[in-house]
Amino acid sequence: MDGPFYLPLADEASVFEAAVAARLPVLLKGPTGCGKTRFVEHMAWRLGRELSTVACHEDLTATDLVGRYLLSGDETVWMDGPLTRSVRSGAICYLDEVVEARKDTTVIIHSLTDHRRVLPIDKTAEMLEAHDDFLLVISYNPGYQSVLKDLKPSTRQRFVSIEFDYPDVESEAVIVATETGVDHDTAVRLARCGAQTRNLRERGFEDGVSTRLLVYAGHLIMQGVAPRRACEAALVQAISDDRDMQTAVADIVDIIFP
Amino acid sequence: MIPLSEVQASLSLLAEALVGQPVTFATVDDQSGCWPWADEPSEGGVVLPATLHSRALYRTVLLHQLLKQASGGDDLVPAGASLYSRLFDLVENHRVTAEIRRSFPGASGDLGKVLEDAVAALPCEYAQVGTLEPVVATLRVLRLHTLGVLAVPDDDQRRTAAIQLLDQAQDTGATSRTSERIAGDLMHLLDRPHQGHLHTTALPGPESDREADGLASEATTGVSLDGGTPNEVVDGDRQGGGQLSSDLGDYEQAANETDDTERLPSGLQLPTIKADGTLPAKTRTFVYDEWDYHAGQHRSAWCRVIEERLVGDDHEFIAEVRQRHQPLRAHIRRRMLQLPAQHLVRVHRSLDGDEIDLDAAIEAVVDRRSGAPVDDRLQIRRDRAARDVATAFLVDLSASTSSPSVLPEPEAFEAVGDPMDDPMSYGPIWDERRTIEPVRRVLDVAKDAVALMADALHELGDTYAVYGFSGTGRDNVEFKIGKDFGDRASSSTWASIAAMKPLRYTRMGPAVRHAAAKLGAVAAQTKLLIVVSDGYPQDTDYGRDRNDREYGMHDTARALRDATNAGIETFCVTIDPAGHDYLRDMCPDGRYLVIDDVESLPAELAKLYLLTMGV
Repeated sequence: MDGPFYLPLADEASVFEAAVAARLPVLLKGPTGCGKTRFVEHMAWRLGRELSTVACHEDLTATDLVGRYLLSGDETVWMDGPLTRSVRSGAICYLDEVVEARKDTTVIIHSLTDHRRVLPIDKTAEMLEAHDDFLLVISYNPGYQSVLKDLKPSTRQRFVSIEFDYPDVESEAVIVATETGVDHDTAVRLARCGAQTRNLRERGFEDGVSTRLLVYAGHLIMQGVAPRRACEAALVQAISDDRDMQTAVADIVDIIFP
Repeated sequence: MIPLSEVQASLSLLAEALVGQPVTFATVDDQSGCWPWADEPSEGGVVLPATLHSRALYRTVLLHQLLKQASGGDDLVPAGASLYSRLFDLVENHRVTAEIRRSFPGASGDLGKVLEDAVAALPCEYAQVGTLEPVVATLRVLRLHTLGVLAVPDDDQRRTAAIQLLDQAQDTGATSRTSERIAGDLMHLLDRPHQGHLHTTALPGPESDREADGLASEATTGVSLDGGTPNEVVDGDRQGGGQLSSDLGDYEQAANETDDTERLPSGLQLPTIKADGTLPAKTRTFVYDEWDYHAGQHRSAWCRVIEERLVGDDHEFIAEVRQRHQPLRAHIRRRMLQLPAQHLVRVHRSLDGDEIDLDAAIEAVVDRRSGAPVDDRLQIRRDRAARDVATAFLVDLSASTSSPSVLPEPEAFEAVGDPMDDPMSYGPIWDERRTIEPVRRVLDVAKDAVALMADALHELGDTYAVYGFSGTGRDNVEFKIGKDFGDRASSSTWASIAAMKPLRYTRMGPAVRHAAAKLGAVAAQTKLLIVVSDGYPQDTDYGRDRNDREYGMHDTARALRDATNAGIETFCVTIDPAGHDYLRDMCPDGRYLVIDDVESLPAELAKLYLLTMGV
């Protein structure tokens, strides 16, 4: 059975495998929609590991990750959170956009990321030792975070960092064509739209058009939507509300597609 | 017709997307000053006409020039009126046109329209080349070919061969090097062997060329759209015209003799687009009371504040500010990390939360055992109270802010014989004979300071606005919006802040009232107004006479006090060394800062803000 498609752009897969072998936690840095999550899914499949993904948000607390007591009838019952379950079972726990979560979440993962590899659960007075196969992977996008949400050096320096960026036009065209089934020419045109638009990263939308959005546009085209209209819906409207910016991106699409 | 100013912002973004860096446009009144209407090469840079029929035409002209510029052809063969330069330019135009058709098929239709328009603008005799001198005739035939006129009536073998050579530029993979080679081959074909452009640059200088050059005697000028500053004028020095240029002048002279009705293209016209003139003015008017210190009462509806959004095109501004103040920026960022932690609020009786709400749990057990409906909201949730700060920066745009931020050292200048040349007579900064850095004005430093803080607040996620004020008289208090509270930080907002420039007087009171009113309309827990000025409040009719300092000072003090009473924290920063004298009385509770060294304003403003926020 085929696993999730991922086109390696450099040596990220071998670095990840080496980190897994050495039981080192991994930090994936890169802009939105460049393939970080897909990379983790692909590697979990390749290594034959279970993957538990947590999309972090600003209300996510340490309790949400570790677990909590719930009321059941007249009793309180302890319920493991996704992190605890992964630590017990030896899964890969992927905390996506970890800086979005509250600060207490980054504190509880510290003891899991050094030689101790333990998870202290104060509510159950338990010091849970991590399964040999347990791996912690976190991701964040250094580009658009508020300074208050930046990853602290004390956390960052506990991880093996792998940096991601958007692929070059040819590689991105291969990804778009594989993911969506559009023909090569259309895929190249979509990839060119992405590459040109990313030149405007400093102009109000730091991430530019993501590979994910290009894939969306490709899917729309495969569903019979005209390429320009598909790009308008998936790219132009998605990246910015600034009218001038939308016009400029629409121009790029307009001149690249016949 | 669409004026360039209407589409400039989005075209500027398109240009940056295409070439990967900000592009500044020059403008010409007449479209004959740029491709494809121009009959001779333009100087470097992107030149667009002040008006065109459609945005699509602008886009096409822009695309063509960008691709041509990006290929580096200007470095190979500098623009000029020499025969070789003109041939190279024709070949390059042809090559780029083919590249657009190949790589940007969506622009192909508009490209056809632009070329048709250029052909229609030619004199009807243009294609009648039979009686012209051979070189001039060939140039015309080649130009018509680049404009897509396929049916050029021509049975001349040499011209046919020239067209075939020209078409080699359309090959996939052709570069400006290819154009250089083709231009050289064309020179040979025209019995004008070319030894390379380095040869031509060693020949007589541009002045003699211009005299000999019948076509290109006028300077090419272009002014950026940032307000038409004279220093942006690009003089059309035609380096490297040399002997070939003189030759061409002879050919053109011959052409003139055979065809007196020929409309020869002139040089580019001086631009007329001004930031104050043709750019769309979006103004709103507000009326405010003023405090009459002498009468001890308000003058009702006394001042008219005219609010206007600034528009600018300096897209490099914020990048330059970040570069210029890199250490300070890093310092501010580190300090902001120490801003008071967002406190957590315990919310009882929640459906979901970190811990069980014991009171709610006991009630639930009691309810269930007594058969009453059970409320299942049994958790305590801890919510984070977000930072809720709105800051308005109000920058003094009075004429005095055009003063240099650093006074020059007198001993750095030598005595000059001619008293009219004495640099001290005009101020050393205007001594053009010296190579000195561009003078940074007080306002430039103030803009840096405010932009640096705005950039930091953007990263922090705070709400902020940047305003400027000046004016002449109570009926014309100018209130300029660089960035309003609702605006997203984007290239256009940074360019708008960059567009703030010294204007007239300092009627501070109504400006403070208007800024406070705008802050009042923002829903935020903490509201902060920071006024940055370089002197005391002053206007033509701000008091009994122009020297009446008391009136303006008391009016401003009253405006600041009213703002404070409305829940707005105010702070005045002045770079006037005499500021202590009046700020002490003008600002509430000593909320002011006097800065002696203008250049320290960015650091001091950051320090002030962080102190105000409790760091």
